[in-house]
Amino acid sequence: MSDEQKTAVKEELFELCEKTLSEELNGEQLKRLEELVVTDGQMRKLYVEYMHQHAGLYWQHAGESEALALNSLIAGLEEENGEGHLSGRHGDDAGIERAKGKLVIGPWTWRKMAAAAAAVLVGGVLLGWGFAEKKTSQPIVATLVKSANCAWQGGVLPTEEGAQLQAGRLRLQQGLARLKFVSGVELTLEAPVDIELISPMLCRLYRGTVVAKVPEPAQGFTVETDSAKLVDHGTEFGVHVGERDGQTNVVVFDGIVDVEQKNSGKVQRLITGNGSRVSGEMFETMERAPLELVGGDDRILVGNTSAVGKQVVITTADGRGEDVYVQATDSDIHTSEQLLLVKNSEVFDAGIGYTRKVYLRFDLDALLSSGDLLRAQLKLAVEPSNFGYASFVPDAEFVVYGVRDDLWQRDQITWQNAPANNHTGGSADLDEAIELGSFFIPQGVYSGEVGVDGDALVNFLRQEKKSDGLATFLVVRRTGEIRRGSGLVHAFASKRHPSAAPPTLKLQLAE
Amino acid sequence: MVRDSADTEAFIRLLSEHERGLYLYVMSMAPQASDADDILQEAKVVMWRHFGDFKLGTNFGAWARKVAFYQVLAYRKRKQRDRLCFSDRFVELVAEELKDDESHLEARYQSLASCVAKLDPEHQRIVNLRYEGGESIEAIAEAVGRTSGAVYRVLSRIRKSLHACVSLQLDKNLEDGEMV
Repeated sequence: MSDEQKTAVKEELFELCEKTLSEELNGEQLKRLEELVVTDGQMRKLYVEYMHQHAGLYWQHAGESEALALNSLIAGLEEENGEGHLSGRHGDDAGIERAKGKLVIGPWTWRKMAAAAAAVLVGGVLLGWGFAEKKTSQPIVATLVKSANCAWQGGVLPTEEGAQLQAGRLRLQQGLARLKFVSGVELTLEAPVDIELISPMLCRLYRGTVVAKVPEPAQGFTVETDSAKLVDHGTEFGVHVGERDGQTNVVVFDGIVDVEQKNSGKVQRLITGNGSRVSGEMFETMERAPLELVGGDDRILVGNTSAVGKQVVITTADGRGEDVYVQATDSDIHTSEQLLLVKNSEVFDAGIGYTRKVYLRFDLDALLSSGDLLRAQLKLAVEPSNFGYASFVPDAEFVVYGVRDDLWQRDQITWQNAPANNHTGGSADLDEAIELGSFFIPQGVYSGEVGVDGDALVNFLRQEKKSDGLATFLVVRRTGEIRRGSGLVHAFASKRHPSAAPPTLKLQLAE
Repeated sequence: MVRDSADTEAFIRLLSEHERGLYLYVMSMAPQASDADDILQEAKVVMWRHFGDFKLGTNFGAWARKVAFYQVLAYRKRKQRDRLCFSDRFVELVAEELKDDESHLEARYQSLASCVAKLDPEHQRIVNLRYEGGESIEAIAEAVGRTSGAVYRVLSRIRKSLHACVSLQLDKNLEDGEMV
């Protein structure tokens, strides 16, 4: 590019920056700006300089002056009440009020005091109400009475034993935790659980299993889920919300629970031994709920009202089963014998880096003499890989494909010859494979069980059972990474893993 | 949320120390002031909630930027439906550049005020109206007795000349043997 051309492109870039700032950028211009910034490092630098300058102008004229104004305000306030106590800017600014109570303690020197005061005011005011709300002395909702061997993840509440919990979200990743609500309700969380505490009489279960023990004075205690509202009348009951389908399963161990389907407003009263399944469309009640509904590890299969037939479990270790992963880059680092590694490093300018995909093969021979396949579930045990940074991979979606070709060999399969591999990061060649479902692993989670179920999986298995009796699955991570290359490598236990369960198919067959 | 006062103090102190850097970082990706304010508000709440995850003594600025970056992405996702948005890769590259060029951008920022001071008074007034008062182009046009089109062109010229002025100043500093 000649200097003249360079100047012209630079002019064009600045024009596009101007359009961006005045919110006049149209679709075509946006595309052009993207092209310049993404493909040309020099242009990217200029773009960032220009935007940063714009931000700098704002800061110098608005942000900084605000901060200065605050400082002088603080000075004024301090003069007003000579003890050095802070008053909020206005009486109802709870954030400042509370921060004051917390901060102004001990023998502070005047200088320290002023600095802290400035910090509180700036912090409090700029944080605004979101901050204030979080920091006012909200009422305690429950106490965490037991949290042994628990792993918590990304919630907003403290998770040490004995912690006083205000309203907020808790995510239990591992272990068994027990909460005692102020109302007297005891709630046991069985990992993985995602729950929001709302008040001493109300919580919202997003997923997972909880058992509630409700003493008489706390009658009316309510567990809400996406699809249902469970109002307790002095009982013990268990609730499970399915991770994928969001279906609510309830079993009443003792007493009475009213179950309301949110969609229809329909209410069913359950008594001891009854159970119910609720989703947006479905509302089933069982007189005798299978007791394993809660506590058993196979929650999708049990609780089925037509629980006839038999269960068969097949792993990749059975018969002609196999599991392996393929990697885009020929590299000896970060490999594993025992783990099936998955990663999507798809990048925009070149290559697919350390992308890895998993292949699973199940031998369906065990099903030959059985009746029709009714339900199926593919399960994988999540294990830590210790490769890559979780910070660079957000909550990740994984897709499971059914693959036509079953004749791959573990020692011969490569990125190039793997069946249905479209040689990109987070997908498959849909001429050779069919998408069966997907699952999520939240950021920072390295354990637990994931998988897919549903009609697509059942139909695929029926087909494969009829043809060569082998079923191959391809598992990819649809979610890419924020910093290319350095994102976390996800891993599932393979059939060679010394302790964790191998990839498993759980099938329910007609007699 | 149970936090002790030491935590609260540490958080507020760190946040106010990094206030400017964070503001510039977010606004470089979300140039509309109202967007940037929303994102920053959200980001600060998240930082406060997750302050327990931050190890005192490590780089708060980097940690805060990471949190803010996710908020930028989340904000874009929410707004995507009703307006044009840059792609993820665009935003990601811009974020990377902001990080890699941190000291260079800081040097540019330090030169900015002196370049603004060199603008002629009429132009300074327009900059003030735009950036201090947050006035719209139309309001500025009315205030200075010109058409919106003219104000748009003047503002755009001002920003370009500021950019050139800062670049020149940094070049000069380099020649004078100053570190940038």
